[in-house]
Amino acid sequence: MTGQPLIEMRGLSKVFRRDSVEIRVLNDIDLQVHEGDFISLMGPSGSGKTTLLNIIAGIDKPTGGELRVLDADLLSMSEDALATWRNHHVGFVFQHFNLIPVLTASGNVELPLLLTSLSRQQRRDHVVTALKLVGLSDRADHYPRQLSGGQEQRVAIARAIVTDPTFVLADEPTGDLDAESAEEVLKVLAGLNQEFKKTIILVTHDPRAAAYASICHHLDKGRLVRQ
Amino acid sequence: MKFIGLLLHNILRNRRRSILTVTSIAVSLFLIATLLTLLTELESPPETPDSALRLITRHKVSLFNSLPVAYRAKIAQVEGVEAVFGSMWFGGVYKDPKNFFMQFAADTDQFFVVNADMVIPEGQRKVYLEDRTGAIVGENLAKRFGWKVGDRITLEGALWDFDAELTVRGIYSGGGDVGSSLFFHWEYFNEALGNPGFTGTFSIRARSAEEIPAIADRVDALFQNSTAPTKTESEKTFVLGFASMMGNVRLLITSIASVVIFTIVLVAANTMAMSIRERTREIGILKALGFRRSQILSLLLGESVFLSLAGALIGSFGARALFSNINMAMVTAGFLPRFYVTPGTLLICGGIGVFVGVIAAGLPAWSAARRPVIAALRQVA
Amino acid sequence: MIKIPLRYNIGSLLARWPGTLMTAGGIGLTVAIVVTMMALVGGLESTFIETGRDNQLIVIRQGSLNEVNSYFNRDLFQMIRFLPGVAKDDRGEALASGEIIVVINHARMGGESSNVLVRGLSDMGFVLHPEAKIVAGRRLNPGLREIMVSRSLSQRFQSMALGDSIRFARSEWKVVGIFDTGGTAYDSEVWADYNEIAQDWDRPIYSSILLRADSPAAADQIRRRVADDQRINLQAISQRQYFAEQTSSSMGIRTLGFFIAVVMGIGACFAAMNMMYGAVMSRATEIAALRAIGFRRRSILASFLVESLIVGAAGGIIGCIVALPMHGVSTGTANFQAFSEILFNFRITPAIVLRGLLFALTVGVLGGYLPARRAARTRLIDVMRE
Repeated sequence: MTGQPLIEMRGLSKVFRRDSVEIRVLNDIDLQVHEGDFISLMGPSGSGKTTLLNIIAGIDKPTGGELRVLDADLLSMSEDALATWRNHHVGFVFQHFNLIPVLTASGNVELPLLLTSLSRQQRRDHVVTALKLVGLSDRADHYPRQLSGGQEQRVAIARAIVTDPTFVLADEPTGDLDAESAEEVLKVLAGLNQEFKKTIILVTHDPRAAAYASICHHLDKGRLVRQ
Repeated sequence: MKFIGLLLHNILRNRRRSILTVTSIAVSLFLIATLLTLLTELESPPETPDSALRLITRHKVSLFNSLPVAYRAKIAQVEGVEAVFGSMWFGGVYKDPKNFFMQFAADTDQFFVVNADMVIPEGQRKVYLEDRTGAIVGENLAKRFGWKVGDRITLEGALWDFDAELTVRGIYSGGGDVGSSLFFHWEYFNEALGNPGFTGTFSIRARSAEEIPAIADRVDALFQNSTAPTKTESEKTFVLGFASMMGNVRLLITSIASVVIFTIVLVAANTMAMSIRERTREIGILKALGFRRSQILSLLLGESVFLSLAGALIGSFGARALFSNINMAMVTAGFLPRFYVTPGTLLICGGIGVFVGVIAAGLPAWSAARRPVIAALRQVA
Repeated sequence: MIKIPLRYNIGSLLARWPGTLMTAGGIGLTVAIVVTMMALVGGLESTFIETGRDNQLIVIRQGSLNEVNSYFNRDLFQMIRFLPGVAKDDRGEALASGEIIVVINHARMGGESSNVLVRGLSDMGFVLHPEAKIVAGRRLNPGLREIMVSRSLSQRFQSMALGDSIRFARSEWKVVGIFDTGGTAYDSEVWADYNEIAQDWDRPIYSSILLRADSPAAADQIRRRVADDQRINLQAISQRQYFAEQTSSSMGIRTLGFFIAVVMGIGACFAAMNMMYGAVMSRATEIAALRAIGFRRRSILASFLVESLIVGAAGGIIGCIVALPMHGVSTGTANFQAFSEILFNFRITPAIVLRGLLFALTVGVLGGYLPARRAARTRLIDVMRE
């Protein structure tokens, strides 16, 4: 929690223009994220939380304000450079799992590693470790359709952490899950944060999920309110 | 029919897929229309009232063997024969052996009577008849080499021991070869060779079409036991003989067409399967709203047939449009004097379109119409 | 460059196997047609190209395109066969044979008539045509109205079996032998004794002289001698070259085959494009996941191109397998130059199979390019912002 923040934004805003109508999705956001933080971003639909996440990951660009993520100047990086940067630093967990249905759990988890220069054996080792961390070592050769919702999401988390990224971004990871599976997943995330000091930013509209985080922010109509 | 609106909406929903499907089918039907037309043209050469009255007499054994020119007088006296002339295949070389075209040395006496379907200005005809070294050329041939009346042409003798030095005296259109040949005086040919007195074939004009079989028999009977027996047949049969020489073209073309149709069915079926799979939920909703199975089926069949038929019509009419703007007679040096995509062919292509549409939708449509509503609704959109 | 594992492509193709199969099937049938047409043309042309021995020359009239419409005085034979360079057999006889060609009209098994080439040759002629192996019956005897027909002819035409008689010119001719020249142009001929043919046709001339030279140099020498002599008005062509030049008969079929290949190829491209667009559209979220993980646009493009190449390759293999039964099927067409029927077999060679596969891969690439580009252009934002 000490030292230089990993992510720092000041006065960040994002405006969408559609047919001469302006929509202010994010308005004057000041936010700092330090290493080891487990932050939750809560808010109703349309409050801009996904957009904020996308901006942190370099998928979207702000229209105003300052943004510093890990000393990288995301605004001036090319698409390709951003892709590589993401591969090294960001682990993404989506709401709808987005696992490749025709690959096994190991196959899915291995994907981010294919962009590195690790040898085949090294990749294997990383995959095994990641799956162990999420408690799915026995499901390594199963296809997504053979897994429950909670298990699929855990595989997605394994995929997100397999490159040992600097931070993990989770966009409504429990949105599609029942209470029990949701708990499974959130426990894994909490564990990653507590044991391995992973920095996690969790976007959700479910207060129970947000409770797992140590810091809770609220977004309402594009403005940040700290809890 | 309110269904039309729904049908069109579904087709326009994924415009790209519909366009690609229609295009793929159109291209294949273009090919089928072309192949069918080729077959039709080879099996039914163009006929005019005048050509229907013509017979060709050749040496019974082989087209290559010559006949004595003395036969002409005898043939002229056969019952039913209105006019006759003899002609010899010259086969000369015009500048380059690759410049192949039909050349005949034909005696001039009754040439234009038998070839009444040749259209040539009166003035040119007269000059040709009077000029021993004159020649008349078909308009397509003239176009190909840029010849005009008055031009001098030399045909190097490849089969015969002299070069024919000719002057173009007339340009004709029509005739059995549709303006693709060159004719010059047989008398000039005969003289240049030292008056051997033979010719290749005789062309006869019959008094009436009904008498043609009888005339053929009579002529052949005349020469049956001579050293040069003849075989006489209608011009149409003679021409068809060449096509049959090419081999079993009909089998080849129908085989290819069948395979092409099978291919189109696969393409259309793939599209319908993709389209229907995406709309399982929607179809479930329609059923929940009260649409009957048969109505759903008709809707899906209708879409499929619409796409296939559209492709078929575009392809076949496209072929018709293309070939009516190309002078095939010129392109094929008279081999294909006409290349007309008939209404019959268009109808067949349309029929293929409908057929393909029905089969392609068949299985997926039937199973979609049958799937229980609740199962369909459960599908994630 | 292709970092996305092949497992992904193959797995995706298998997961949507009906569509994959139908598209590969469509491409396959197109390839089958193209391969069959190539086999047709190839079979016809190889019949000509493989005919002819080294060091043998055919002498015909100057200006004639082939033996059929060539004719010259018999006296010239004496002059030709004593030219320096003409090989001799162990009895000192010149290896030269005067031959006459005529064309007859005869009915095929199915009923329609067609022109068949008849060659009148001498005893020496058989020496110069060693490729002719007698597979049934015996060689014909001179002085009799006996003929030998090729095996292909006997299977395709009526009354040409061993022992049959056919009537042409002025007499009945008896089939006493069946020969096979192993696929050369001579497999479309009927052979008879020169004198009998010349007599029945009342044509005391030669159409051609076939001779063997001592060596390639001798062949050249003979060729030049014949060409230089203006009086005799003859030309000498190497037997190989003579037949190689007759491939123009295949022109019509070649053009037709090419036309069909191009049109069907275009149709197949659209079909492949359709399928791949369908695949790309339904995998939008997968693609977004890959982009989010960090795979570049280039990798996505390459991956989908590889996928369409796999479909193309599958189609190519299917097509070649479907076309394979056509190999060896015998047929005939018009040799317009000789105005007679030339018999040949469909011939699928490794080169043709390769070209068929290449055609399939090209269709795959051309059809798959635009969809692959579309896949690569998937915008993360559009997918993330449900």
